[in-house]
Amino acid sequence: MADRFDADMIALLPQLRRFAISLCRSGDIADDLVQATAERAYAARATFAPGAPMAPWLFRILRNAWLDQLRRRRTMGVVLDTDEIDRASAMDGEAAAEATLTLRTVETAMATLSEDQRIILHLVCIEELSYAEAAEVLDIPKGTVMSRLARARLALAERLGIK
Amino acid sequence: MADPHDTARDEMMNETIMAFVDGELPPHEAARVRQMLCDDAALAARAELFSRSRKVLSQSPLAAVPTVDPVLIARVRSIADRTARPEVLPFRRPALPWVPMALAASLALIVGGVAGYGLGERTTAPIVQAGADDGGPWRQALAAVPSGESRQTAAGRLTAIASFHDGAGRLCREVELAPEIGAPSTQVLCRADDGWHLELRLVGGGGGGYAAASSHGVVDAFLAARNASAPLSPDAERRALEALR
Repeated sequence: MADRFDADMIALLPQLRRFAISLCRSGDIADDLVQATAERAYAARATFAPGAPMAPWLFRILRNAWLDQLRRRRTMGVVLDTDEIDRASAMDGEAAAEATLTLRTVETAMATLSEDQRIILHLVCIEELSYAEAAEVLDIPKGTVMSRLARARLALAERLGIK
Repeated sequence: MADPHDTARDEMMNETIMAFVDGELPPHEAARVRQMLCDDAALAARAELFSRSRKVLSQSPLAAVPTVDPVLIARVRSIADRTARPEVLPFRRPALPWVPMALAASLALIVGGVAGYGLGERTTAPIVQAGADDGGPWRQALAAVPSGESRQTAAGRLTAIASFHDGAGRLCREVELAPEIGAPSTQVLCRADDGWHLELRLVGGGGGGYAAASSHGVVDAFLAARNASAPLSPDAERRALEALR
């Protein structure tokens, strides 16, 4: 019998996959990351406070899973496939029509930023986490979130010619 | 050269304006910043910049909600079902009812010498018998090679991936073994009083090189099922390995 935890988990899968893609930039690896996140989340279910926001908790688990995978493949290098990103980020036509900047434009600008900056931009500007939630996901002080985010926003604006 | 005090003040002002734009300020401070922006066109322009940088991202294709493969949804549901109805598992056999969707078709999973799982078919026999140390010369390198480094052994090239403790407190190592002939494998071995015990062996088919990246999902699931700790830091690993020698 599915309960609230299960329902929320399923509902958050698209967001988890979006965050996973932003980290690993591969649809296949993102799916595995999401699955690993679910495994870990259910294993640690007892530590989740009922009623607390689930997304930041899952994002944190997913990021840690990704860091573990990075450690494992330290000797292998990470395969980036931008075509895969295009497919993995496929959206419906309406959303695509509303997009004012192409994926390549934003992706290229984001690629010039540090990974720390990309992640904080994603968590706050795309996943719409609060500063406190982003701090929880990344295990850093809220002040660090603010300074990192402000620098990232200014750098992104510069790369995109936003004045 | 910019005055560091000015730089720090400028950065703090940026963070305050950004927090205002993001609705992160308490009401009284938000009112104060709102008034500042009304009085200072330069600050108002900066607020606009923070607002637009967020809007660009939130409206970009990067923010599009990706589709989720129904197979992935089904697998997450199966995890939930398994959690809700824990099964009694055979000794040494971890809870791995699923196989990552991107695993190569030839991937064979040999667990604890009990049985193997492939994509849709069971393997006929374990490739390696689990249990106490088999005396293989490469296992001597387990206590010597730091994670992230490789060593050539009689059985092939051994690459140490990570060290951690399992739920029983045993020191475990995840390694990759690439023999001169045959498929490379990813293995997890844990140390007991009588030597290293093989806990998990993933054999990647379809040519040389390392196991498919997606096989890490299997390892992740295995480690989660064993309540494994996070990978040990280099210092902690060095101390743990020295204690074995």
